[in-house]
Amino acid sequence: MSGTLSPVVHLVDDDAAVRSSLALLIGTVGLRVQPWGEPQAFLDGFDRQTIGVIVLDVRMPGMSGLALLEALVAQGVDQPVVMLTGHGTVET
Amino acid sequence: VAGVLACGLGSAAIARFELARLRDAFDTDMRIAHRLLSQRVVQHDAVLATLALLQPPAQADPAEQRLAALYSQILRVQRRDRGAQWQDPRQQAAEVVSRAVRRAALSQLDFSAGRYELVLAAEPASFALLMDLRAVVPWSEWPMQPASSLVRVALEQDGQSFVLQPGRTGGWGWRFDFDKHLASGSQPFNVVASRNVGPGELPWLPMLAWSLAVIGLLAGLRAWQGQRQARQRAEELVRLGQVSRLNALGELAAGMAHELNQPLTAVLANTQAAGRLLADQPPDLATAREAMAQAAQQARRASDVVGRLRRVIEPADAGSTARPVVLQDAVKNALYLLEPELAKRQVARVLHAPAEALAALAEPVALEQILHNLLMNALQALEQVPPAERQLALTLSTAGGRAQVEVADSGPGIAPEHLPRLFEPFFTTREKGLGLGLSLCESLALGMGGRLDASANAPRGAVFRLSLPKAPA
Repeated sequence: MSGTLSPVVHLVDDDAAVRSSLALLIGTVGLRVQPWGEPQAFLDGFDRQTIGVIVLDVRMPGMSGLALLEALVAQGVDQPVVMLTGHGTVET
Repeated sequence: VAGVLACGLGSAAIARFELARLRDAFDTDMRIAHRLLSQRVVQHDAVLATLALLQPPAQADPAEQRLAALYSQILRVQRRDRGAQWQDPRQQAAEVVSRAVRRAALSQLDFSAGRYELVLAAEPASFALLMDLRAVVPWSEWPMQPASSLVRVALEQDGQSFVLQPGRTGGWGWRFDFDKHLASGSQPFNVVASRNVGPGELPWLPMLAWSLAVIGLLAGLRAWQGQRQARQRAEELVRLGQVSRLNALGELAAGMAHELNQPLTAVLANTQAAGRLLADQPPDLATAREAMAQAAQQARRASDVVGRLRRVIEPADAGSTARPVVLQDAVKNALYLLEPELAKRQVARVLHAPAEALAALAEPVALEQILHNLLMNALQALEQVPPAERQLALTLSTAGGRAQVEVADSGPGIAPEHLPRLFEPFFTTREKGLGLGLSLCESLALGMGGRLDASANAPRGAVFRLSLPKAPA
């Protein structure tokens, strides 16, 4: 199932415990997971050609998830983005 | 600008009033002077008429000369008997005039010397009176002080002028004038008077006083406005302070949520992953075990977050600083602080307190905070009923060896189902409430060895009862 053509989930979260547990959970349903601890490292390094989805934590030091989302939109990235937040609402 | 205008207008009005008063005084004085002089010169006509009628014999010279003794202004009496001639041709000319107009006529007018003669033609003898102008004036009845008066008064006739009093003329200022002929056919002298009011005579003192009063009033007004603004600013600052405190609380809550959410997310993800791994055929036990260990670790992390938070916000042991506090004073102080709020909401309040001081063992700041919160709660409850029904009752008493404060309101009261949860943290019935007020009050009360409970008030509303250890007498 996990061939080179299977979709990649890019998981961006600064919290190591959350990152590893979510990676484990996503892995158990058979998807490839690429965890990223640094928003900037993700922006610089992720493969824009493969099919996939991006999971962002809203609250991160350095660059917030919303700022990262704006940067992605500005760069023309068309992969779907899922935001993770502990709050019911997010002020935009 | 308004001040300058008020000063100017007021001063002008005062000056105008004073000028009008001076003008009135001048007119009155001159009317009196004119009347006195008219009366005198009419006397001269009467004297001459009497002489002409009585025709005292020529040899009885003393009869005529007695006149000079009687009337100080008559210097000399002369007569021209029938067939005789006047010594002076001017007297002759005057007699011709007198005969024509059938009354006394002026002759030998010499105002520079202060003299004039009055001639009356009669039969058989005609008479002439030489008059002293200065003595004509009845000085004893004169309305002014001739030497010091500021009014210049002169008599004028045929281009000649005799100054009765010099007054003070010239200079800058306001000028009053009087010009009227004496009421006499024979001596129609013109009474000419003038009065110069100089700037020095203006009522500077009242004008200055008025200006000072206006300035004082304006300064007072400005100071009052300034004070009011300062008060408004202070109130605004307090309000802002409350808002920023709420913001800080909101920030704290958001931070807390994130801090807790991280480990909770990890716990959830790990346990779900473990569930899937165990459901696999064959189950991946090693990875599942690891996931469960991760979950346990993250649960501990969440517990640590809560523990840390508790250590931060838990108040220091209040019991250690407890000391005797007179409850009457504490309650009055709390009411005093809320006085504007009570007045604004038209709340009727009563305080039932024993006459002697009731002292409780309490931490003063904590007690103040509890009372303040209870009163604020009562006020907010009372806002929901019409102003006429807003009643707040505070009762201080001793019950079972403990000091007790009751705060009772006539608001809508507490729903029975809410009563058990009243002191729970974050329990609130208010839309914007945090639900921390009463829970904090209870914690503070417990910290001081006291307790706080709530019940329904009769006939309606709520009553909160704070009981504290009594201070040893």
